[in-house]
Amino acid sequence: MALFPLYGYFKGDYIPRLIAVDTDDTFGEVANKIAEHTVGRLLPADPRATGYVVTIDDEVIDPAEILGARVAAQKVLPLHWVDVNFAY
Amino acid sequence: MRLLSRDDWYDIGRDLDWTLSYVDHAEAFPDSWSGNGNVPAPAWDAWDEPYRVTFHDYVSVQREKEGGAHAVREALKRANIFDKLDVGHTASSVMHMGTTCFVEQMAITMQSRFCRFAPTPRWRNLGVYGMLDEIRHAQLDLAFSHDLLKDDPSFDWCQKSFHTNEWAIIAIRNFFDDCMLNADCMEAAIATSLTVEHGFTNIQFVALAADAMEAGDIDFSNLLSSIQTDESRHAQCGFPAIEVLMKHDPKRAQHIFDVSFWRSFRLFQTLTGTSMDYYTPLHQRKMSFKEFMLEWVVTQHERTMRDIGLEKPWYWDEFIACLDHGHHSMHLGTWMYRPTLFWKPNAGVSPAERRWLNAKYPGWEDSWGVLWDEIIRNVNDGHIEKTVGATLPALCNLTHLPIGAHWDRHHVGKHISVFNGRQYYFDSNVSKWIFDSNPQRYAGSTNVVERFLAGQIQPMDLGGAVQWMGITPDVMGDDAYKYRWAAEYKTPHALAAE
Repeated sequence: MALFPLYGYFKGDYIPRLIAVDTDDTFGEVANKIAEHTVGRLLPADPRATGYVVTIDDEVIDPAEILGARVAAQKVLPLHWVDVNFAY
Repeated sequence: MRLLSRDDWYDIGRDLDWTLSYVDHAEAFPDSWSGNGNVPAPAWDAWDEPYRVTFHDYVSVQREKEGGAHAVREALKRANIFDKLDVGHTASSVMHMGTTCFVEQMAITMQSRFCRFAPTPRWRNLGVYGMLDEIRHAQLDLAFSHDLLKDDPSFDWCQKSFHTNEWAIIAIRNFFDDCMLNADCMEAAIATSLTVEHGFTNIQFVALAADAMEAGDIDFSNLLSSIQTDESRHAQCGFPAIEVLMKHDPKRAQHIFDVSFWRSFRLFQTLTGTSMDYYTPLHQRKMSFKEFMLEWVVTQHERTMRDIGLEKPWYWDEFIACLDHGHHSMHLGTWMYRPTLFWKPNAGVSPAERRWLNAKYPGWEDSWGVLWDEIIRNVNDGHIEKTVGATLPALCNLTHLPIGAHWDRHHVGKHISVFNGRQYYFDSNVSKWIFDSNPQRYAGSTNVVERFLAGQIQPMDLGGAVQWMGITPDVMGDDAYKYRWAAEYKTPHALAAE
């Protein structure tokens, strides 16, 4: 359990941001932490969406997966770019 | 005895030089300072200054200018003119003073480098006048800002800003460190004299002075006009320098131009774009930032490039496309992070202003209006806290500006380089190209996000960041009109109203 910095970008927003997450977070929780800086602030919530989808280096990530596993495998580095979009 | 006329002695005087015997020429004029490179010594005989000036002439003219500028200043000090100005406009003057004064100060050092290390005595001679110009500009900014302290404590940032870690100041300081202080004479002449001063600021000062006069800010207009007459003169020293380099190393000349043009443009998106399209009161706007750039900067640079033999920078099409967008991004960003500013920005998106933006930028609604709609909803619902950035934006390792902010939300992308095991992010493929072309030059710098993660900012939140930037409550940025513009959207069909 440790704080971990990412660059999170929510599709449709105008900039990515520094996002503080926890290595114990699931990618579903990571998505929520990224989305909260955009949805309801700069983009409206999408009533058709079922949640969020996370993509890292063009790979769609299972929302149940734990961030720490990818960090330990050095597949996710500090300030790694993480894309989030509405899921349908 | 009759004095010689200037033309009788000028050519001898400007070529006054020494044949060095105690030191090698390379030691007295190291390449790292002169930037001479592979230019053979006789080539400098072609360096011909575009204007002629003697010390006597210079002092006489400058004395008149100083007298004129300070006469207006003294008269207006008693007129309390500041109280009558639109708060949207005063944001421009506070921003200008805080971001420009110490650039003038840095330019003194650059010009003094010309005085000492320029490869020809002709250029060294003119460097003296350039240096005296820049001393005058820095002192004028300080004097005028000092007068205005009684009206607005934000003018303290004229002197203070470059001694802080305020994020915009870090970006500006980094650029001018690169093109003025870290540049040899040749680089500085092309990057600063030719590109920044002649191509961008000279024109900007004319436009800004006209806008200030229109807004009733005679004092600020007077200051800008007085400075501009100097800038337009000494900026011309860039022309003979690049003409010499084009004959002997055109590839290097092109590279310096391409780098400095993009970096200048990014700063102008941030400062001039926001000021022209958002801070200037609507009824006083003469042209949009894009119109200004196309008519003055683009046309002028195209003519300059053609005359000198330079190619258009390889990213020219992207630059033209970004004229529609990047400054809107920088404006939205600065407004959302307004507690980190030392000026009070006008949101500039009232229904009437928004109609103007849509008329000037047909893609504005799709790229920017949709984002402002959510902000307006939050303002009108009383959720002001949702309209302030709650975490730091991802920042470029070259420009120190937000990633994605050169274009619009449909063009945000990853631009990454790895150098010596460290990962670097860039706001655009152009900034990445600049870094990749000379990584040793840029690799040592850390941006605000990296300083934050290194623990330099405590506590590690927005409040800590604001404190670290030196922002105090008396100057902290907030919406210039206290959100009154948003209330107009409560009226049905506000955007359609005339």
